[in-house]
Amino acid sequence: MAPKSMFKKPLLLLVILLAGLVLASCRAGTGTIPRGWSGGIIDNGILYIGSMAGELVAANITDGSRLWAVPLETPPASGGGFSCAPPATAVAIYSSPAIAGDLVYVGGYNGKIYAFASGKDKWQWEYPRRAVLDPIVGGLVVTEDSVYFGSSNGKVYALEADGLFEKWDNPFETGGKIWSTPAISEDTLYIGSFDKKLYALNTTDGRQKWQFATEGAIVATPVVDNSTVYIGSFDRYLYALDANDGHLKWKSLAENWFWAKPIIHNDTIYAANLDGKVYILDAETGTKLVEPFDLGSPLSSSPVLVGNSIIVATGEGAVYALDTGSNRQRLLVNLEEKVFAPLIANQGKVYLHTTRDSLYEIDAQSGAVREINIKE
Amino acid sequence: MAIGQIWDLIILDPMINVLIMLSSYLLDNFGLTIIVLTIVVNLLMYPLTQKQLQASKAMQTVQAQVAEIRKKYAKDKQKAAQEQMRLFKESGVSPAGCLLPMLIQMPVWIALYQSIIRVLAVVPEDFLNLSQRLYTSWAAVFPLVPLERSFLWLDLALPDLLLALLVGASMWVQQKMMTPTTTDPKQQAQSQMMLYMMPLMFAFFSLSFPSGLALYWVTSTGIRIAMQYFATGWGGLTLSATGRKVTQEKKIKGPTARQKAPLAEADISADIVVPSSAEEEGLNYGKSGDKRQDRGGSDSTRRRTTRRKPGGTRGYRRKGR
Repeated sequence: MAPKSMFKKPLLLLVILLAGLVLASCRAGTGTIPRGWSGGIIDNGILYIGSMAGELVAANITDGSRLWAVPLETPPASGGGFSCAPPATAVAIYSSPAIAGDLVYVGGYNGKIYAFASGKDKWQWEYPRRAVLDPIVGGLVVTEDSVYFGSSNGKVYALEADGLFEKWDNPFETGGKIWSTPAISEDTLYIGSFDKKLYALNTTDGRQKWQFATEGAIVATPVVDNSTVYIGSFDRYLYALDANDGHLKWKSLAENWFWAKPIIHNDTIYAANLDGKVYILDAETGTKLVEPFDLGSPLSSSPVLVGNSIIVATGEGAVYALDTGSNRQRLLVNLEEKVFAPLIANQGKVYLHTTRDSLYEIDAQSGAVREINIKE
Repeated sequence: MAIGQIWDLIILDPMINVLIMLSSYLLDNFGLTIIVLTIVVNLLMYPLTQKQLQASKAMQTVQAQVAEIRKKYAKDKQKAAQEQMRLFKESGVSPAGCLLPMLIQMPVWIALYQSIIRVLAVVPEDFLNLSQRLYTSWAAVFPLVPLERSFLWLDLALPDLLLALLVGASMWVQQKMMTPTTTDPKQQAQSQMMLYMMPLMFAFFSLSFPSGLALYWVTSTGIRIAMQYFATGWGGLTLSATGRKVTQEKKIKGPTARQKAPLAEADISADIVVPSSAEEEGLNYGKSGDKRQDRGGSDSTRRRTTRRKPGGTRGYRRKGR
């Protein structure tokens, strides 16, 4: 080494250090920009979905064309002008749209709920009108006259379906963020929170009926069947609780967090886990009926039931059909794109939204794939 | 296996799991966890840090001679290079001594930094990513996520202006302590640039990243300031704080007066620090096998100051020249 270059050592060291940190920042920071992974809903041959461009998109599933798209909002670019990641210019949408009457509802990571006329891209209302809540990650549940959702501010909200009034005197407050989608059965709303508890609330006034504490945060959506609530937690347990009083019926251990919503079919529960396995349990006792299906990569996308098959997409984009009769798995197709969004089922087809913002229609029998255009 | 996977497997993932687990022993307080882990990692790295500091210090002791050589052989760069190499060799100074420990430590700092960012998962994608890094055999880590993000006045997942200022200030202090005394205008300019660039850049980073990361930077810098103080004293910081007054004192009191007081900036061009051992040897740089023993010890006992006459003779002379 030439001595002259040695005397540039402090500069060299600092440049190396800074370069290392900047590169590390880029690497570590890739996950910090919310991009969204909305599922969708189908009504009258039209699929409504939240795109990764921050739009509510309506697509014709018959011919695969995009009908219209409306951006939720376009906030000013952030990132300080010097950032590894691109500035956020679109609202991330994790919440799957919901439909009631002629309105389509969708929640944004910007902390707002929007309602659009379902037939056209016409804005109807947004909540809250002026302020914003904390990010909305979980989905909305819509009944004839009400919209229910949770926010990252830890509160559960109930709105009149026209969005003009809040249904409850006050939102119900939990002790942590809410990313879970509520489940409603009769007059009870069930929702999980980052405070590790599952809450049962009266849908009429928002008062708590009971709560059940797990050991981990709850992000998954509960499922209610036959007076039992099933909920997975970050403590790696799937719980079965008495829907009336919240008493524990049984719990079953997995190897990672439960993120996806389980499916119940023929008194059997199919629970996908981030350990890459689908657990197949007796819904009444929690007994493992067969060895879990190991699909090889994390399962955050909620599966769907099509006929007698459970359709599951892995995080790496492999789509499997699990035959509920024979308990055998079959690879339908490997899209080789990341999939986090919940699947959508409609008339023997499955719709799947990937992290490349592509929407695919997959035949649940043959595995034939067709792309639905949701991009500009 | 790709290098990224190896990195994750042997460095990043263990650190993430330790970080999460440690928080459960520290009242589920992630801020406290960051501070404790930073201290622990710094202590583990102390032998390397000490070597690096000693090497830096040794390098500083020969800066004046280097400047003289460069001045003397300004027109013959090859000769200057040879002389500098010889000076380093005979003084027992290794330019790589600063670089190597730092290069070894850097992956650990980067891993610590990355693990803090990842554990402070904010958006859903972060959580999915984190779930794949938790050890399935270490069941206790799963329910611990997400960690408590509140610490003092901070939300550790959000940037904080006050902490960013603290990052900048602490880095300036550290940088100032490290700033070598030099007569070379080029190096002086470089040092000045670094003195302000680093703190500004890190303060800027702190405004762009979660404050948990800034907390790590502040803690880490604080520890390094302490280590540096015990290894080399206040360095350049004393210089700016006391200025000419220190130089006046040292002139009166002699070598003991500047045990921890580097040369005053105003006097820097006039004073040349000469290793006493070399002085005793008649500054025998050319004498084969003579190596200075002064590597990391106190300056005061092994140096003396020689007043250089303006335009006069050099502050040192080479035996046989």
